[in-house]
Amino acid sequence: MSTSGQVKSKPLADKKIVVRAIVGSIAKLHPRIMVKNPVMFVVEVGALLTTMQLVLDALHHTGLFGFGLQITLWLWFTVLFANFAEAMAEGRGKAQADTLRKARAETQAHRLRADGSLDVVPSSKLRSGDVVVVSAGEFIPGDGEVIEGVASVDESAITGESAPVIRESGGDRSAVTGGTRVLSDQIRVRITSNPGETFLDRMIKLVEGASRQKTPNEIALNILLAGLTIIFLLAVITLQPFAIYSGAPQSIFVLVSLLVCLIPTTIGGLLSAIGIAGMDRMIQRNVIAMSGRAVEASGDVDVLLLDKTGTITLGNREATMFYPCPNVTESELANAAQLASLADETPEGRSIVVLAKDKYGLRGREFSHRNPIFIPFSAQTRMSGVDLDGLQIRKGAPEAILKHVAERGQQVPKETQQCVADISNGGGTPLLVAENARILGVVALTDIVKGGMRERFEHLRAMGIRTMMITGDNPLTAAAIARQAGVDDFLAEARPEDKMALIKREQAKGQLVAMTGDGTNDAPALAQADVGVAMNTGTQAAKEAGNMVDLDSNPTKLIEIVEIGKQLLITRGALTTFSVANDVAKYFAIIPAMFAGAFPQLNALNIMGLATPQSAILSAVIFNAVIIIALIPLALRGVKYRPAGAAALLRRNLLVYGLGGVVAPFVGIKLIDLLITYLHFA
Amino acid sequence: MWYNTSTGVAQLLGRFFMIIPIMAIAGNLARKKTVPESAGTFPVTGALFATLLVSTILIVGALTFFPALSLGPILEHLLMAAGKVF
Repeated sequence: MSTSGQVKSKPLADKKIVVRAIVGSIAKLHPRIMVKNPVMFVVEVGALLTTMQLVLDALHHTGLFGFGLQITLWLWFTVLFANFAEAMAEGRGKAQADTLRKARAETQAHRLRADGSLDVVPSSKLRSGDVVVVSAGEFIPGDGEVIEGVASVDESAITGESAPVIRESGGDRSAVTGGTRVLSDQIRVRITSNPGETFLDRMIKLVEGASRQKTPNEIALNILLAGLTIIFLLAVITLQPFAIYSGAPQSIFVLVSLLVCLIPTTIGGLLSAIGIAGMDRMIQRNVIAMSGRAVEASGDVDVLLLDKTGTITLGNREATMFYPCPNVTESELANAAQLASLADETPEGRSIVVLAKDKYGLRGREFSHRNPIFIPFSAQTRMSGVDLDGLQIRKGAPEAILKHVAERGQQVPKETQQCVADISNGGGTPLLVAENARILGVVALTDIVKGGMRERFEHLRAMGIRTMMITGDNPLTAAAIARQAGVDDFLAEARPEDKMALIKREQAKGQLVAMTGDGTNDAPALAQADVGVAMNTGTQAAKEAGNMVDLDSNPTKLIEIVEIGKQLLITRGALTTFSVANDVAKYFAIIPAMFAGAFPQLNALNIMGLATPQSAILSAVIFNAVIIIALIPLALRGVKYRPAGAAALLRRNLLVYGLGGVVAPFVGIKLIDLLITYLHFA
Repeated sequence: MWYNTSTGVAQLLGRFFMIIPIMAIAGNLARKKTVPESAGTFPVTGALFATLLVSTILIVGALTFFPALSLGPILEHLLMAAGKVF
């Protein structure tokens, strides 16, 4: 049931990605790109200032050239490291995009003219509304809907799954994707997208990060970081008059160093990498998020709407027991039930045949001489069965069969009525079997709840997320399955519009709602939900309406999506805390160093015992740059996530990243100071 | 004259100019939807939140003044301890 085994784990870095990221980090130095990240832009401006001062010093042979050079170099490294983090995150997506691009290769399409003849056009000339004919062995030229025929399609280019899938006209399996290959048969496809807007095109853009927009949460955090930067900018600018008054004016190198160390460069440099990595983690689980906003919203979700069938329970109900009426043997009932189900192609009907075979060794037998007339199931009669030489064998919903026998003047035994009620209350579906007007007994169909669901729902509850089961079953059955699976609530006898109303009701209460769906009738609800995950096997309408597509079409994955979203938000929070907490140690490194020349007494604040004023400032700047590189793996992988309530998570992460953020730089700066003193750099 | 005027202006700005962004934040918060409490909500009562709040104020707020303080009162104290008074 768990899909974690299918995660395509990529190594964090391979050589090609790293080389590309190094080139990318230099290209990103362009001020027009840098200005999008205010914190790092300030660092770049600072680096430019020190570079100019360095040139002036060199021309006039003034100042400490070696110290200035090292500070300047490390300031540039700080900017480059931040760019490298972003380029690394993007690089992982780009590698994926290259693979996808191969699938988008130009193909020839057989377009159907109005008069029924075919002309051959390149796939790039197809417009929405065109109808094409695709035969076995050919690539489907664009996204569309099958309007005629059935075919098996190899969708491995998109999903990575090599087993072919069936696509047929009508119903919920009609959507086909451009770039996939028809393996057998011939289908007619109505193209639904224009060139450049196909699913594959959008996917490439998404994994490349080309269409990446800042999410609301990122914007808010950026405002906070920019605010902090302004505050520290003011603190540093006003320090110079103080210093001059005290008779210890500071060089531009020292002031820029102080500023760069104080502004939150760690989170500023890693912020976009964290966002990109979040989308990348979705892609590794075969989920395509249409926007970063969707990934983020999934971390804030309060209510999960889960369809019962396929998500909470295994696909179909199965026959599990025969309950004969008094004076009827079990094998007699099994025999009749099997006969009535022989022509029933529904999964339920087949499971009855199988159960009778397994339990009583009843196999298909020769009875064509008895002139069988098979009565298929219809929504009107709600029965199916067979007529054999005047014997009418029927099976169906209790009400239908009761009506059937009542019309023939018969009563139902009390025991049987009790049995029907018991099965319903237990979450099963009872089917009555009748021979002519005599009721033989009850077949119990039960839903099989997927293994491990209860634990998953408990995890979700611990995280503060409510789960809600949506089902078309009657309230009694629904309640029993809800109890068995351990969901918090359920919506029984749900129609698509009920689902929609439920989402709106929850949203009005201020809750964020996530759901999955695949059918066209799910589309409005998918669009309304804050996180709508469409199944790749679903209809084009559903895929357009949702803001994520699960290529594996596994509705249980919604739970993993929520976890990835939470992990993204937690990672961002943890690194912000770490970054700000780092400031304490940097103050204690730089401030005493700045004024130690004028006031040796201030050395009392040099609690780390750093060697010289120059080595102290240099160590702080180096630590500030190196910590960005050191945290790239954490930003890309995400903070280790464990399901727990907000308070427990907060306490843990504050301890690790808050307290750790205060302590780590004290140790780190001291070590760097020892090293550069040993190497005689300062 | 210069110091009197400039500190006067600085005090005026420091006291009243800061009201503008604070009012903007308040207005923004007032427009937000209320979200019902659940296990996923950060508890804002208890020692954990108090610690978080206090350390944030200390690090972001107080440390902003650390450079000025260390040149002023802290240095003065250290000098005084060394036997130098102004």
